[in-house]
Amino acid sequence: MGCSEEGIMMKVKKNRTLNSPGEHIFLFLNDLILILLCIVMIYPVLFVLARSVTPELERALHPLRIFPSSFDFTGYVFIFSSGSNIVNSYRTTILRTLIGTAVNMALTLLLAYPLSKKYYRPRKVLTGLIVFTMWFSGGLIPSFLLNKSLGLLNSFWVYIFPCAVNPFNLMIMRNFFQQIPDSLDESAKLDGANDLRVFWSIYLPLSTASIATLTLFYAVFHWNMWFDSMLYMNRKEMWTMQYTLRQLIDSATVTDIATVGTAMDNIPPAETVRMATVVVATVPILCIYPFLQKYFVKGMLVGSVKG
Amino acid sequence: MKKLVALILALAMVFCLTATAFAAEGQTEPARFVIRSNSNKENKTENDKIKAMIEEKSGIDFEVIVVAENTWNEKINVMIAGSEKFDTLNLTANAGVWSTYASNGALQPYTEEMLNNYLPHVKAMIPDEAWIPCKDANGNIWALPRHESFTAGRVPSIRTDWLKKLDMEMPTSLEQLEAYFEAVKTNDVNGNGDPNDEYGYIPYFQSLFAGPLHLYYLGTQGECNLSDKFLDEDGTVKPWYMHKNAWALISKAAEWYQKGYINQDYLTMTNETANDQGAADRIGMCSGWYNMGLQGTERIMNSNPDAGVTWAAIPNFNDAVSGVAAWGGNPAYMAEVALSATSEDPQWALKLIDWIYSDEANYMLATYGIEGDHYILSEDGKMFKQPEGATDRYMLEYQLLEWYDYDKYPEPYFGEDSGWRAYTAYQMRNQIDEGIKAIPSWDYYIPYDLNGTEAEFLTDDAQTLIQEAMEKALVGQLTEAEWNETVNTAWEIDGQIRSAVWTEQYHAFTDPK
Repeated sequence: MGCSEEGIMMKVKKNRTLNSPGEHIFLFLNDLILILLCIVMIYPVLFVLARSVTPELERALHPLRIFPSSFDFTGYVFIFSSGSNIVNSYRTTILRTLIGTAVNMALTLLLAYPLSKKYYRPRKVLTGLIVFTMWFSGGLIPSFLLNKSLGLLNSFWVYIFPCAVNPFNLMIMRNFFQQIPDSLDESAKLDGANDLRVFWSIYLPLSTASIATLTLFYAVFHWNMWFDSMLYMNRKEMWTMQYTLRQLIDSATVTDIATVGTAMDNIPPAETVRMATVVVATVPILCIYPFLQKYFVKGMLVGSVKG
Repeated sequence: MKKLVALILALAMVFCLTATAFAAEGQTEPARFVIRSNSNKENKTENDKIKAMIEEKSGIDFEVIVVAENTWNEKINVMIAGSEKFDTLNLTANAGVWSTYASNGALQPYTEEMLNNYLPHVKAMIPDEAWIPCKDANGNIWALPRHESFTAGRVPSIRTDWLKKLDMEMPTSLEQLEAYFEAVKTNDVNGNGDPNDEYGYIPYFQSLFAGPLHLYYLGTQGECNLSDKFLDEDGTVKPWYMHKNAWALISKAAEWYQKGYINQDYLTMTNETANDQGAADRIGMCSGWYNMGLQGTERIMNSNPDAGVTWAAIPNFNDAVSGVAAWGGNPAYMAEVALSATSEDPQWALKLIDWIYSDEANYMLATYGIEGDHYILSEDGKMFKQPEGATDRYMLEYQLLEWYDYDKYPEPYFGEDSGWRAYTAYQMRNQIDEGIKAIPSWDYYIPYDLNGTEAEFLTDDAQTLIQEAMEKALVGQLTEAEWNETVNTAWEIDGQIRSAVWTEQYHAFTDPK
């Protein structure tokens, strides 16, 4: 009969090492499509970077060129020389990101843990109330009035407290905690550990992937936020970087054409400022992301897959 | 011990007195001014220095809350709804419209007592006609007026070096302008070897329908939007699309577009794109604002000063279908500084504004900065120059009421050494002042307010219909019959309701009492 086990193994081994023409074609097309996808994704990034340093005349004559023949840093000079407010804004944003993320993670974890426990009686009610806020909110004006009555207007803490816990992230964390076997919990308690000890020594170490993921979510959230700065912060030195950059773009776009020949000077083209703004706003996050990438990939499905 | 305690108490008292040195007696909170961001003036490096000088000289503590223009509505609405305390609101971002805020109770009117006691210099400075756009039908004053520095800004401009190359004269009629467009289209005017890359006309600020053609056909300055209206012969105020020449305007714009006189990306074009076209030496005429064409072509001159780019304003056409030989402009006076209803003691804010206008030195400090540093006066004191880089350090941030009167205050110097763009714009302004007529919107001073009327809850459906019809017409997909049908629909669902409200409010304001 010629189908011995050894023969099958040989055949399998042959199939793995010797690719058929069909596989060659498939691999080639696969690589080609992936390369095209990479180009499609990388080109806009290069385009933005190039446009931020391309002289305006060259940009007008060659709108699609991504390798400028000369460099013009007017947009960056405009951004970083604008009354030094960009420095204040960077400081505010970095502080906000660090403190805000720490507060967010601490509160999210501390709230997710009890909500994951079946024996915690109020958990269903609390979960319902939290989920309710995901679908309905008070609206812009009530939120403003609330923050105003809490004395948060023009205070740094308006960036921290109103968004202290994100319900969606909380649910992700809670679901992840629910996946951790109860037996670990029980055996720790048999050894004399209380809930806090179990949380600190067992749940947190097992949750590094999801913690890293949510940390990134929160950090990016804080880094990108500008709307609360616009609404609640009248003090320019406390504006977040995104709002300052947004306003710089606005200033570059709308020149005061009425005050002829005076205020209309010394503002680089709006396109240049816009592109430089994108670079300034995204470079810090791009620098941090590679360090968290492995956790991000691992943790993407955290909380969404049961079993 | 007792002596020590007495000394400490005395020092504490001195400290408290000193701490309130900048706050005028009786002032318990800084005066708060809400203004729009503009030309990056809020980010100049020496704003704080100038502010400190103003506070020291005036004795009035103040702060300025800057709101970006593109977030103006959200921010101001939240501030008003949240009863946030501030003293004045700059209405320039709202084109001087105070009526909506007033009807919502967000503003308080100026009283005679305020004007006499806190604004004597300002009151003496403002002529009677300047108060017209600031008053309601009962004569209540809701804002201090702004004096525009240059009112003929919407005059279209043309490349005179291209006219010369084409051996053509400055157009004085629509027919001559179209001949120019055709010549630009069929000749390689910019000399780059490609005869097809030039455009006769680039309308900035999407002004194809709202620019020169609007005056030419409808006889009024307008934006072809929901608030654009005209006064019909029977005394009713109607939306612009009801004008008998509206289709003529649309079809002429469409004709230009289809003939290639206008950039084919017009419908999605931004001012930045238009500037790029200018920088690529591709535009022959522009509208929207008289000097917008200079922004792009300045790059040509910077890279090649011998390029010979020249611009001039286009004279009024003598063959206007509307019979109105004029271009669009801004009103000389517009409502600007309104009083917030949450201001409990506006005297300090008003006194500060009055202080600025009490003396030329104060005005120059608030407007341009420090003499000798940010600006240098001429010997006769009638003009000033700004050293290079001065406008990066301070410009206009604390000019809390915009008033440009070069008969009273020094005017900026413009010469060939001012730079190509500044000097060319200066020459164009002189040309316009010498003989080109520009008129503002015919009803700019009427405080229309739809709140509390049957038009209050109308949506933008009619505008959407009209806008879509205009765009279809532009690309040749709409006939006159279809336009008329669209107009009738817009009139039925929206226009007649607005017209009734506008007519009533217009006559309430203008009819003799």
